[in-house]
Order: sequence, then structure tokens, then C-alpha cells
Amino acid sequence: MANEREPDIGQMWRQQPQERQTMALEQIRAKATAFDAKVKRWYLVGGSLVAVLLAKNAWEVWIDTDVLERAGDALIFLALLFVIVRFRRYARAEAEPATLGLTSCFEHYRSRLMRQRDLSRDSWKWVLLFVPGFGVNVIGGVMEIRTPSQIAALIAFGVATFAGVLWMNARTARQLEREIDALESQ
Amino acid sequence: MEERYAEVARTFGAALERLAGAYERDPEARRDLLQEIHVALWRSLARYDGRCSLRTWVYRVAHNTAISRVVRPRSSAPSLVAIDDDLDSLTEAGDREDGIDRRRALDRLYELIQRLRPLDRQVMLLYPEEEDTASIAEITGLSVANVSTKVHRIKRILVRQFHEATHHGE
Repeated sequence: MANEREPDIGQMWRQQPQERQTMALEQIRAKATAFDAKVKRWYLVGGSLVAVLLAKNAWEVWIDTDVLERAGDALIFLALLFVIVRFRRYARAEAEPATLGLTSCFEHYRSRLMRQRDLSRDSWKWVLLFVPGFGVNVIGGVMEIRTPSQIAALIAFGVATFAGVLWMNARTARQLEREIDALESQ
Repeated sequence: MEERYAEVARTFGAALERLAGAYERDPEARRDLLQEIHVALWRSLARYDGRCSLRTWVYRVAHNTAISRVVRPRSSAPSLVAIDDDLDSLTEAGDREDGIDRRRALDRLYELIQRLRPLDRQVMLLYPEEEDTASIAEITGLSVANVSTKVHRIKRILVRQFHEATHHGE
């Protein structure tokens, strides 16, 4: 292989000026600790937010007198629980730094693409979960004080937003699918 | 583990710096990426069990870390090209200059690398580090035949693009 090589290019590459940046072990440990702390903080903030939402919906199920609103809150509560389970599974699938050496670049890149594709492709499931709860809630809340045309406009707006989100995610999923195909055809 | 990390940092430090530079051209982002690679290596070495060479392990961790951080498929994929398909677009003769110096040649090489799709980029980066075809195949997960083809194309690109530049800079 050395004979086939254009020798100056390899030399030029390897002899280019460099900063020679080094990291002391203490610095690496500090970085790793800071990274872990950041991840924990992120989970804590996310978990707290979801806990507050769960508590709010549970409370509303308890105190609401309107049957429709009560049913809507209960459905949102269940949807939140389901999202927590799905999110935990998704977060666990993230490759840990310790395992990066076990996976070839091809496998690692493909798994990242597939993960993002699946997330985009399945996003409708995440959004759809909340539709019944919000739908029932909105209908229960506005039915008495809005005209039928206003209710229809509200529903149309909700459906259009939902469809827009779905379209964008489906487009992203298709792009990722093409990238995966190109990768696998190598 | 700490001794092993020290050995890795000593042996591969310069190559890792070049690798980070090829993924991130902005100096600050490059330093961040390099630090991230070192942290990932330090963590990963606890899991190193000798099933592949240390060299393969180090390059896998480094490239996988860089890919995770730098390559965001949603936005970048459409603009990236493959060595196999776009050889001509990568090496348009009209884009060449006869009198460019080493610095310019290196800048051009970095530009070229950043336009490539992730796996092609990895092959392109491993080749000038004097990795042989079998090693590149083991690191990337591509077949030896596939890597050979890519390396052959890389050589053509490099010779076409940089032959004059490297001789001029001597």
C-alpha cells in the first residue's frame, strides 16, 4: 500500500501544524462528572415537569364536575404515563461512551439514523395520544359558550396543526430512510 | 486504566487532533470535540477487552463520538456527497490552482473531507494516517473490497487535487 500512496500527501497530512492540546486526567474526570451532572439535571427537570403535569391532571380529574372535562383530564393523564414509558425506552437506547469502541462506524451511524428515523416516523403516536384527551376537554369546555361555527373552526385549527406536524416528521423520516438506504448500499 | 489512557493519549494524540480538525473547522468547536473524544476514550477504556486492537478501538471511539456530535443527518445529509458517485464534482479541474502552497492544499483537503458522507469521510481520514485497508475495514465496518475501492478513488482525488501543490510546497 505504501508504494501505491502518493507519499507527500500523507506526510503533509501528518506533519501539519498542531496545537498539541493535552488533557490532564483531573480535567477529564471533571469533564466526565460535569457531563453526568448535566444529564442528571436534564432528567430531573424533565421528570419534574412531567410530575407536575401528572399531578395537575390527577387533581383536575378529582375536582372537575363536568363529565366531559373529567374524562379529558383522565385521558391526558394516561397519555402522559405512556409517554414516560416510551421516553425511558428511547433514552436507554442511546449508545453510552463506554460502548463506542465495540461498534463499527457503519453500525454506529446506521443505528443513529434508524433511531432518528423511528422517532420521526412514530411521532404521530406521541401526538395522537393527547388528541382524545384534549379533544374531549375542549369540547366539554367550549360547547356551552361557543357557536357551532366557532367550535368547527377550533377543530379545524387543531387538525391542521396536527397534520402539519405529521407532514414535517414524515418528510424527515423519508430523508433519513434515503440516507439509510444509501448507507446500506455501500 | 489511567496508564492505558495515558498511553493512548501519547500515541494517538496528534491523530485525534487532526481528526477533530477534520470534523470541526471552528477552533473552539474543534477543542470541544477533541475534549469530548478524550473523555469518551477515557470512559471506554474500562470496557476494552482486547477483542480488537487498541488502535481500532481508539479510532472507533473517536469517529463514533465525532459522528454523534457533528453529523446531524436531518440537515446535513442532502449536501453531503459520496466518493463513489461524485468524483468529478469533488475534483473539477477548473477548480485547481497550480501555485497553491501547503497551507492552501491542507485547507482544500479539509474542505473536501467535510463535503463527504460520514463513512467516506472516515475512510478519507484514516487513509493518510497510514492505516491499511484491512484496518480501515475493521474500524469502519465496511468490507475490505469496499474500502479498497474507496481508497483507490481517494488516491485519484488526492493526486489530481494535490500533486502539484505538494511539490510546490517542498
